[in-house]
Amino acid sequence: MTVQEPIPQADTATRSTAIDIKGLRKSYTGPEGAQTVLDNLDLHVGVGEIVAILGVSGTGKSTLLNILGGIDRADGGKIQVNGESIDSLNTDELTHYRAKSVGFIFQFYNLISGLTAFENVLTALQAFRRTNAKDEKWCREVLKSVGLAEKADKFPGQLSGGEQQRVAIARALVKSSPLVLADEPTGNLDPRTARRVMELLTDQIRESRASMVMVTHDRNMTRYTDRAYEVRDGRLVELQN
Amino acid sequence: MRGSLTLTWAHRQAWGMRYRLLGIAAILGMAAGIFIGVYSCIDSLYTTRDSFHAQLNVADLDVGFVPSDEANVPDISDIPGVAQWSTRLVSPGQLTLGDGSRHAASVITRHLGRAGEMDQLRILAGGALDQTDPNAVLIERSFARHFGLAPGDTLNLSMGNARYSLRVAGIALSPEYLLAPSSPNYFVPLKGAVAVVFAPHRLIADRLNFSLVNSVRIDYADGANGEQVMQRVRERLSKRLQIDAVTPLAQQFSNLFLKVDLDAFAIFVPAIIIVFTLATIVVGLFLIARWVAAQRSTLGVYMALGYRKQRLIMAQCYPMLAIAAGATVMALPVAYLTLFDFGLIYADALGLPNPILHLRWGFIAQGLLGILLCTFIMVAWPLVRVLRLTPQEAVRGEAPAATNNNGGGGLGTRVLGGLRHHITVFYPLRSLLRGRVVSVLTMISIALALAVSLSYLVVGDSYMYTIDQGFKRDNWNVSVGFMVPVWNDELSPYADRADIERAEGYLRGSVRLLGERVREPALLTGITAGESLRQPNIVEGRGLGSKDQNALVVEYNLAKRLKVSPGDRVTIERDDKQFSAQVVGVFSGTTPGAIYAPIGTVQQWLDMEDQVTGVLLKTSGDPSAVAQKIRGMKRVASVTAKNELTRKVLDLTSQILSMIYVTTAFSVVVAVIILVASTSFTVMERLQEYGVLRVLGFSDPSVRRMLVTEVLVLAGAGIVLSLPVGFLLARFLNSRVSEAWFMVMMDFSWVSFAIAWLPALAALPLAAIPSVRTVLTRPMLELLKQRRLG
Repeated sequence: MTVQEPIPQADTATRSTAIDIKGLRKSYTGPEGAQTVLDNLDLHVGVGEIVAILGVSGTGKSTLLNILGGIDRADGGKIQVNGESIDSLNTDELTHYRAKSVGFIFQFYNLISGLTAFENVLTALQAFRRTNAKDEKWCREVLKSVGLAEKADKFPGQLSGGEQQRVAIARALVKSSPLVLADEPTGNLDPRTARRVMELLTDQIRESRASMVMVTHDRNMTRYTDRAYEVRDGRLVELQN
Repeated sequence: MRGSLTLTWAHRQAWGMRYRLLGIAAILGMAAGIFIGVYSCIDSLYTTRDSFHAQLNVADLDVGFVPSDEANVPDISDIPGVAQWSTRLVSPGQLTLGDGSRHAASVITRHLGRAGEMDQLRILAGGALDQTDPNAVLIERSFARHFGLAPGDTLNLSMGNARYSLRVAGIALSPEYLLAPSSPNYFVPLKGAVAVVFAPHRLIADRLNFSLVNSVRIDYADGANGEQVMQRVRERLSKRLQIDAVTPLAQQFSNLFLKVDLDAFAIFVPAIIIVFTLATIVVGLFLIARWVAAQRSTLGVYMALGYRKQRLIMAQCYPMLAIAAGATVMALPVAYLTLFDFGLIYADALGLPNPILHLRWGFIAQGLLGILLCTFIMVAWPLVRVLRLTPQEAVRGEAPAATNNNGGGGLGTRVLGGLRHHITVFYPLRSLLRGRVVSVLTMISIALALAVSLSYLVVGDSYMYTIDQGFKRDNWNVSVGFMVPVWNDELSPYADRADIERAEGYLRGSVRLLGERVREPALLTGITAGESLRQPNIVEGRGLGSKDQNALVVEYNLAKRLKVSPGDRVTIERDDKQFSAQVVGVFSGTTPGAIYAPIGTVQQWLDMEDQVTGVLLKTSGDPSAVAQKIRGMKRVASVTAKNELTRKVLDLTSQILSMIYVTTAFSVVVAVIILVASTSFTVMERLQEYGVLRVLGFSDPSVRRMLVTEVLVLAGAGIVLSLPVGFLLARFLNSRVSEAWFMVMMDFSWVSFAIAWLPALAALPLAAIPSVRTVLTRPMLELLKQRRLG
């Protein structure tokens, strides 16, 4: 794998666009003054595409993911997700965007420990509408698709790390959102489990025709993705196998 | 070096949360302060009484007898144990003030210079009594203060047919500072009800041309056996005098009332102290647990570095001592405030002289010990929880396997399964079940806090109801006391009036009642048996029947002391005579040691055939107007209109009720604090989950609904639970008051529940505000980084 210069976005514009970021800027004010994390960053992700973002700690890869997910705001730039400009959305609209358009997968799973695996998955639907028996059936199907049909009624504390992450994947997929954001999804798993989880995740993503942006520091994970970028000096540099 | 590093770290951590520590210290300090203040106050009131008695050398024994020429009083100086003695005349009268108002008076004439050091009067204003100026009198301070009398004021005194023009020489404090109430039926001190007038013996002796006395006051020698002296004095005096009552100091009104009233009051104090302490521990536990949890990873690092757990615990003693020191600093002013606030209000309400108020070292020590104990409990529990973790668990923020929760277990899954599709209800309920120990603790704490005020209100209702029923049960509305016993056939001027429907004479005297190996002084009243105007509140057995003879009904606590119940026979002792009587009933009343018997029987026992000492009247017109007319009549010593008495008792009770309302407000505040602390704690534990919910797209109103639901469920359960708890507590308090004083009948109104609950219903939902602010104002990313607390 070698590092190349930043690539022009037009190269990937042949597919329908899922994510289109232009000139994204983000800085934080810390004890040592303002620190620019993302500086005039551009990114284009096509529909159904799986993209990995790599980088060492503190380079801003998670910040990019958080801005894409609508849980953090950019200081400047244009961000379009599936044709919607999320940089201009107000708080309520961002909440609705997160509820309907984005599925999240976290490194530490972030399941709600008082809810069963099934209830955790169901919760993702309840964020934007009242659920019903049909939804229950659908949630169980999704859990089955990630191999957890037998453990649907277990609580997170009763599941292994890999199983918890599979519940998180089911939760991200259950609402059929066009975009899934994964922040170090295998960072807390052993290599064997990590491999299985990644295979499952990418299979499911491809099957659902969703797009996924995954932040990872493990370059081995790029083999499951269509493209990979590294954050350097606030910008994305594409990596090539 | 290592020790000092952990101490430095603990110091920095404590400083970082100094305001929370200050909050805990304040609540704890208030609890301890109230404890120290109230109990010191009760002790101070007793000490004040004893101090007055000692300083003014109150007589140890009072012997009352039918008025007699002083020359007939046998000399008792030679009786062993009698240090000194004197005679006096205590006579009812009527005082007319400068504004024309009339008041019942008790005139005490005494030999000046013969009383020696006994029963001294402390002159508060003006001058002392002067033998050469018999019309210059002293007025007891309570009445003088109530009616604004001052030295130089003029008064008119009526005693029987005699009229005296008096001048106030001075205002005096008497060691017998609580004087008998105006009502013959109610044991309640009413400020300004009786004017006590001290006058030289010559005031009356000059008119009569002989010295009339009806009381002998005796001071015991040091080490004397009071019981033996009393017996010998009684024997000696009864040879030439008709003894009415022999009353040792402990049985005198000023002693007795203070004892029963403070004993009854003291019953209420532990409830509020316990709840306060409990609330403090709960709030403190939650706050300290949050604090310790925040330090968990640091503790884990110390453990990983090989620091012994004992050393880490020692470091935590620093904030514990800081809390204890802060609480102590807070406790002392609160104690002083409580001491003076309660002491002065109580003294003023009852007409006591200004009490000498001091904090007691014993209570201070107990209070401070309580502070240390509470602080230890608060700090030890969360710290032990963390120290039970392995260093890795502590550093990584993982809960130990034993504390991994499963959403309330099978119960939570089964019961709440049906609510799955209502996440804003389902999630908070499931969360409460997950932390069921904290939830139950919170509900119980809220219930206890509200139950205290509820029980106080119910006790207040019960007290008012009992008093009211006592008044209603009695059919008289004006009670007249005579200066001297009168014959039955002399009652017509009072009874045969157009505005009187019915009149019944009563006869009152002091006797001793002998039960099973116990002898107790008793106040015997002869009343018309059967359909009488006076109807004691019978709680066991039956009332007096029209055919009863040698039968009596006994006051509840007296019956308990004597161990007698309906059907038992007792012996009545009067002078050297004994009579046998059967107890037919036990009644509850406010006058300790009262007994009632048919008037004919009592006349026989007291050897006062056809005589009465007072008359109960049922009026057809306005009782106050009738009372006013009768006050001016011959032989009348005191006239009590029931409606006026009711009003005065209600005035007295309203002061007690105002304290109850303050307690209610306080308990609601405590309940809110508990709820805020609890929900803050549980929400802090689940901050990350709320962060996840927000990231998943739950709107702010949805998240707010979840938090409010959680608070409302806890508050609602606490409020509902406060009903049975409050009811049981009220029953317990009523039973204790009944044992200490008079039997209180349980009664409650929905108004009391409304008073206790409405402020709680209004205030408790506000407890959600801090949690809502925490969850909704913090950035989602920050919430996601939160670890579960230990």
